Amino acid sequence: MKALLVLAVCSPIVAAPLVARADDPKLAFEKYTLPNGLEVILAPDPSIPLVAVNVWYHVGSGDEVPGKSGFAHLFEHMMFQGSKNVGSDKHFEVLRKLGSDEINGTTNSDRTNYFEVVPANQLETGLWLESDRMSHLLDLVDKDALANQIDVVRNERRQRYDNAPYNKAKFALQAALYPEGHPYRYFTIGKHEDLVSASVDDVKAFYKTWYVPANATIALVGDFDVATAKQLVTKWFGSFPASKKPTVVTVAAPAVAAQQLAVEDPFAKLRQITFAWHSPAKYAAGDAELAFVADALTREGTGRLYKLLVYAKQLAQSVRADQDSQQFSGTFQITVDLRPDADAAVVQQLVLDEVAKVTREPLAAKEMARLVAAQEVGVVRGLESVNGRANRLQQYNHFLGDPGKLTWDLDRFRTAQPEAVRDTAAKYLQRDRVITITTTPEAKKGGAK
Amino acid sequence: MNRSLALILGAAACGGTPPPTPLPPVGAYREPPPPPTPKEPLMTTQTAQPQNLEFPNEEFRATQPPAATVRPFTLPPVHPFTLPNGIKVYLVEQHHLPLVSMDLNFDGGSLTDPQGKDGLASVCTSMLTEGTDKLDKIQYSEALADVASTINAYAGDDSQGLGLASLTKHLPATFALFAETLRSPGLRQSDLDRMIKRRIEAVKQARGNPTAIPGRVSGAVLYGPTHPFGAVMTEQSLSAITLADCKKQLATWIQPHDARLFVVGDLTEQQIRDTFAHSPLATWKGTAPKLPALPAPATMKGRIFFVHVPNAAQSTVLLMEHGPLRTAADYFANTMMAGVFGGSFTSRLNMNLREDKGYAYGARGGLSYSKHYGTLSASASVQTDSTYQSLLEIDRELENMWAGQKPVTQDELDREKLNATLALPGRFATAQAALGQYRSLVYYGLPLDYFNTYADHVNAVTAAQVKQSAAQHLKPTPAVYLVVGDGDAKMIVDDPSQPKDKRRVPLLKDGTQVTLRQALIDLAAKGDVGAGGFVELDVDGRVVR
Repeated sequence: MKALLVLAVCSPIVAAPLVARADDPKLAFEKYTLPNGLEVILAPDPSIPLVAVNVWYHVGSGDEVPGKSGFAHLFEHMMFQGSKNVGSDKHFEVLRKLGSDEINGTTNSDRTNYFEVVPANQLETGLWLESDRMSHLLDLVDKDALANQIDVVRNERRQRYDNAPYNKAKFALQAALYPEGHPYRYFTIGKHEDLVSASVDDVKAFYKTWYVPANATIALVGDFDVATAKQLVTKWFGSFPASKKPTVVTVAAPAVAAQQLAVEDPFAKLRQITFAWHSPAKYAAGDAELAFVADALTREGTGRLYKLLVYAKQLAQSVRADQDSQQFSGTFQITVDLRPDADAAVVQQLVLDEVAKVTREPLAAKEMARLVAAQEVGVVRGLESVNGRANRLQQYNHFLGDPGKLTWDLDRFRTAQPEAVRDTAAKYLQRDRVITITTTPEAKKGGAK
Repeated sequence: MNRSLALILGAAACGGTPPPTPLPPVGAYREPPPPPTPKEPLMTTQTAQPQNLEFPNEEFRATQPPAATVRPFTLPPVHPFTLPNGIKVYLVEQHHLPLVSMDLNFDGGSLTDPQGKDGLASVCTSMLTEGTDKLDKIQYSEALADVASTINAYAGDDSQGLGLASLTKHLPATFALFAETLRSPGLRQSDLDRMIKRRIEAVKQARGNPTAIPGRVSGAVLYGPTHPFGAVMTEQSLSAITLADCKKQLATWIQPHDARLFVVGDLTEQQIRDTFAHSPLATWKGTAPKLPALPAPATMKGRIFFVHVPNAAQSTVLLMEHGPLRTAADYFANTMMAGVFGGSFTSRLNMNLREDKGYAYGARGGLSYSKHYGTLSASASVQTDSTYQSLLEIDRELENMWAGQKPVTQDELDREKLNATLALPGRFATAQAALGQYRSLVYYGLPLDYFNTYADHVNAVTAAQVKQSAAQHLKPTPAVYLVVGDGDAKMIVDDPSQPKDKRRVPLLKDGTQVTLRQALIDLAAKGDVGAGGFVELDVDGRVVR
């Protein structure tokens, strides 16, 4: 984990006892660190002749500085444009010829990952590709390649955000939650103005600051011999120079006062209301507790708000809630799509009343048990693929400094107490801190007929 | 754990629970208050500095390392058997994770929807999971959530079904619900009413969503609006659906004989047989009728179809034409050809529209199949001002491969062949993925040992066969274009004589920059991408111009 997190002033919920569960899936691994600082995680599994080569750089959009929103993700695109020994725009072609279909990179606020699942006998080519872009990327970075990927990323933003309904509200909400200059304000995708202004010098500086060996972790999961894999990792990464792990400065979320905002959206046909609060960071005290609240409120068929708004009163098309936690802080959000004839004020009152109720009364044991069961099943399902396992090991390593935290993670849910859930809800889901944003269909112009 | 985890929320979030604050009045929205003034500086900027590291460049880095010895790979086997009531089971066993998934799949689906009741199969199948005669929707959902199981109902073009996912230890409870769902579903009028209302709102939502519109109208364009695959769900068609219709639909198609049960997970044949024998499904018997014959597709008359979405932030450009069937004799050559055309990041479409021009986040194309049809398509969501040029680029890529100006090169063919053969383990990497492969064989009526000779067939494909495939299946003539975007937006064209950063120049006509609608009208009139003309549609696929 990159961040030195600041201890909270107020004491977190009492730490849960760590009870190892015999039937949790076993995620055996070995972790070590090369002298240059690169971390290595090896998890052999001979059941199918594939290897996931999965690299996490411990940098995300949360580490961007004002005026550079979207840069971490734009940079991720540049990592596919070519490096000295691999050549320009050859990454996907090389891998396609190996029969590798699962190839990508992703960026979020906390980290950037790159992966390819290759046939087991091609592990070394995966290491060649990853080591070359970790060491010799800048040789091939130029103005044209950057301009091209700025266009591509701006088109990604248009496709995924600008051209879809309800995203205007998401951006407006983000701006209400995070002040100008906070790295979460413009989401990982960033704003167009910042993307256009990215320069080759920015690429060079970002690479030299954040993409140093000591800020990366490589995980290999699949069919390999451990001794051979270690030799290969040493061959391709061992001669890299010693580097220092860059320090991440935690950027705190501000306290916000309750606000009601409204946006018009040309693509929206139904009104939508989102309620949002600042909430605990990922894996921090209260994070799991608020996940229980989200589940108990809106799980389809059983959630309190589902039953009330979608099923019984039929005031809503759908309702969902999420404790969305990131490295610096999280948000807790409830979103309701209103039926055309629903009274927004009534719905708002009903939602806030249900929220108030979970701040006063503990959840029922049955409600708690449902999320525990869902978490256990979800974890098992996520481990089916080699790359799913690699990401799971990397995730625990990034946030908790130890890839082996699976049982600890599940225990957060198994040992959570209904009273602690209530107290956490009371602490965070306060009425004078909720940002409410309503999307209304644009009155006249815009949208399809 | 060697580092402290803690809350990072600002101090203001801490300090104990304050006294309850009165709820702000609801009703008319107020002007938002000014942004809060933080008590302390919020913005800390990152302080990490560039490190100037010297990376060695040993000679061995210059070339791609050779492959190691191929590791043996055996396809995970599928085990077929038939239950006494005629359900055909396909089982892929997987015992290292305590999970079971089942999918009971019946002929049926939207092609059985009567005209004027489009959406019937989908709505009625969904009614299955609204509860049973003993459990209402809420009790039913609770029973499943208590054991973290799911039961899902679905309808596609030519089939419909019911699936379950469960931990092995909870299979008895889940299967009991699954059996009740099939044999004694609730089918309550109140649930149908609620569902129809929700579907109608979903139709309205889709009409307003620029990225949902192409999927809404493309079937009408390619198959014709009266063909079952061209029908567009509307408020009228949904409102026409009655509970009696649903009872009839389900009674007709949800029948065990020749239904297919796909099972993956921690289970054996005997356990499946026992599970059925000890459930209400043991006495379940019946045969569904044969699916009705499909009418011939009647592609709408026109060449360039256009849906105007004011203020769309991008445009969708979609090329479509009828293509070869999945079971065609030249399937392997077709697959290699389509892979080069648009099958991956490395394909010509993507390398052109994304990596060269930067018009799109991605572009893909190729052949897709259903039981009765094959379709050639190419599509991209493109920057608005580049819509016209993107259409020309797609057309050029098609024409170049079809007419042989830019035939598939040996290197491209080798790349696709290597991928097709070497990627097989990856396509069987999980039990779920393996079952998906077998399921597709069952769907197309191909033998279950198909993959044993798959690599041989791929390796036998020659450059001449791929050339022939392109000549036969990439014909620009019957292709139609569907463009969804802002018709009033101004267009650019690509000027390759300019330096890289100045190639986008305005598309001018009589000195003014041409709009998307006008550019498409002019292009259709000129016939550069084929005759047939310009047709403007509304968001339900009806001709407006």
